[in-house]
Amino acid sequence: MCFKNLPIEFDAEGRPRLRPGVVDPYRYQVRSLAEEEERIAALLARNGYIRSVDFDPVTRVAGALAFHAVVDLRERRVLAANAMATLFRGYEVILKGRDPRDAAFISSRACGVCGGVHATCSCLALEMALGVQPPPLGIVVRNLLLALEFLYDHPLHLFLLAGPDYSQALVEPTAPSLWAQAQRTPAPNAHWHGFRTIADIMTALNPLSGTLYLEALHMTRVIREAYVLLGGKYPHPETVIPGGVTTTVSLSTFNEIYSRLLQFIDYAKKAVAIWDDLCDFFYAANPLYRQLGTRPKNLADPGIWDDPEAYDATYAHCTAWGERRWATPGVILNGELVTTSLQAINLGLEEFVEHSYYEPWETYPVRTDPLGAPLSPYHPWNKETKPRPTGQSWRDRYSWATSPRWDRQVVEAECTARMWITAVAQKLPHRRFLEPTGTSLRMALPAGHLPARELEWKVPEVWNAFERNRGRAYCIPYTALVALDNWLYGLDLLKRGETRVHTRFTIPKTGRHIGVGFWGAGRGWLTHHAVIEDGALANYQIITPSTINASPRDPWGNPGPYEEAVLNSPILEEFERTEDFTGIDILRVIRSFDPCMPCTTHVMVEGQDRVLTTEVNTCACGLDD
Amino acid sequence: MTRRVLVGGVGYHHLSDYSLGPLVVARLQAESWPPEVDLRDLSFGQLAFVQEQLAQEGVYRRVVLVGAQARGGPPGAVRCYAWSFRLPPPLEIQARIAEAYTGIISLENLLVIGTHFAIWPPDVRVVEVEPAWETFGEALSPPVAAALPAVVEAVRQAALTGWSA
Repeated sequence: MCFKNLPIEFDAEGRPRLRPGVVDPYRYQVRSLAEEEERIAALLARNGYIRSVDFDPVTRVAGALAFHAVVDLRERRVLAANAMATLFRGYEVILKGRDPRDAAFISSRACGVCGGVHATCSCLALEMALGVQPPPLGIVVRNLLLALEFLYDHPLHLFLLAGPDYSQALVEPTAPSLWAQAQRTPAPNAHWHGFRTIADIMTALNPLSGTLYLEALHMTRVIREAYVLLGGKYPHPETVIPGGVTTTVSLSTFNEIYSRLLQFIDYAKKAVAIWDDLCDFFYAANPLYRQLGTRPKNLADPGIWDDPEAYDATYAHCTAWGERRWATPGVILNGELVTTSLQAINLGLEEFVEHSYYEPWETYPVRTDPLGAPLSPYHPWNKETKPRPTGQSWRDRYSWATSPRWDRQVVEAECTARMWITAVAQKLPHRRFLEPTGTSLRMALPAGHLPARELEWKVPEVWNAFERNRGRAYCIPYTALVALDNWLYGLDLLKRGETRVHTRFTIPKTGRHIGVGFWGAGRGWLTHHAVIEDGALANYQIITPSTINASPRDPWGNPGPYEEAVLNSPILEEFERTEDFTGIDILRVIRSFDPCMPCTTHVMVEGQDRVLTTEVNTCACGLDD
Repeated sequence: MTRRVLVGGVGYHHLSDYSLGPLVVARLQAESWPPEVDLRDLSFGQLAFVQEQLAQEGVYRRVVLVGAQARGGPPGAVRCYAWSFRLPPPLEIQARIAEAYTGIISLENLLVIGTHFAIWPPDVRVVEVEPAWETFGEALSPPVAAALPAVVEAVRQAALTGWSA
């Protein structure tokens, strides 16, 4: 039994069904936020040391994110936090009524960072809806492309976006005592990364000039080259289509990718060493850093990288092929794995809009999933996107992000969730380089220019901002090894003459066909839910990791993951006068999630079939209608 | 000695006036050009372009960039100028690099980032148009569409002759 809040139980054969006797099973009561808002407003009015702090925009994140916090500078804690996706995505509106074959190409544009994940996720949704199974090499190429894309994404975040938060340029002025300590502290992994002290690492993280910053810039080029050898173009590959890929694969292409992949195997050894040293230094310097960005261990992930022998694109077998992925799907609640079933993950998913700039919807067209299990009216297959820009109000509506929840609980999307679920589920069938132990994931990195290295990512004792960054660093070797495994798999297929990469399909002109793409972006969870009716897209819903993480409060008043993590954080910055407060700790927490908001950078013009790409200033002092 | 000339159309596809750069280049590609002129659609990752130029080390003696850039003038206004090579403060350069990495295609960003990484030759010329529409779509706004012939001619002149801005 994995559901505590939704009225779903399982019969003797493990089939989900509605719990009998529950009247109006998906009904809920909305908790008012008015009292809380009034309390904070009164505190702000009474006390000079309680300040309203607004980050608009939050810099060094992808896209449009603003953050409002109320901070008690005397007690050094955060009293209120609101994450605001400041612009509307709108792809759901654009796609409605279109030919399903447009979906991959159009939805791909949802993000310029995650340049291929949306195309792939869209293809999976359509493959399920249309009953198309790609050939093994098509699946392998897709796996390779998505692994290469994450190898572009993770260093970009670690060294260009979040990395500067730990650089000399930011640490020295905001925590002088920490900087002094860093200068005295030898780096334990110096033999892997070459930096003698922690201060040397921090200096190398300096933006624009630091060697780690510049090296990451270079490495993104290496991996992008590998990507375009297979995908033809990045971002927005046009070679990824339902039924597989259209790319021509040869041994020579594979060899060219290999040389670049090997560079990443070495780079991974170094990246992990750097983030291990940084995280451990901060914990040792001040144990309160363990509290920075803490949240309960509640994470969800639909898994990624399909087994070419198992993936048949059907919903009926989704749990079986899902559990054979290189990243096992699953949900972790309070540190415990509650399911690895893709069907259960899908049934538990709901999206709420009480504190978002959308109108609720009345329709409930899909009452059961394709296996007859109960679906909520708030499930993406039933959701209707009805944008309604209004004034900003902390008690009412303040974000273009919605509040996706699983079993009505706040779960987090994270690339680390891939390792975490795979480690604890121990269902991984592909163990050439990876070994889940139940509490860790062991990785065997082969020798390149650097010697071979065994790495072990361990389930963290506390889930916080530092472990998010450390986890992302370990995702570099994990992802590189998935790529290498798929590279070997693909090579074997080529040797056997299994060179087919695509399965033809047609769009049925009548009837309703539904599908879901269970996949992942650089930051974790990605799903596309498609409903095709009479040959056209009747509904299309995208849930990105940053929609989940940047979500505003839900109907029960629970804060979204960014908000909750900031609320749980102490203020550790060193400052004498309140006007010197910079909010670096809050920013470290937000950036540890690797926010990616370009999927929200479109605004619907009321009354017109138009989408703008204009920045909207949503200063927390209020937004007019 | 580097002798080549680059004409780069900066912008997005299918984004109304912000598609002007690639659109101009597509038009120019239909004409015959001297072999030393490269006409390129620069609608892809701007850091990728910068890295490519760093690897090639000064292939071009002149670069002409064309695209839409909002500066608050009347829609359709055409501005031709020689790039000043003036850089904003480091924090802003960082922000522009982050934007470029996260999918933003901007004429101004490309000029700044290219200057930071020293990829440009001394002769960089810009032809930019004030946009009116920032909407998803194929069509240019009427003022930008009206300016298109003048923009094409300005780019042609900038690429082939002395500077007449």
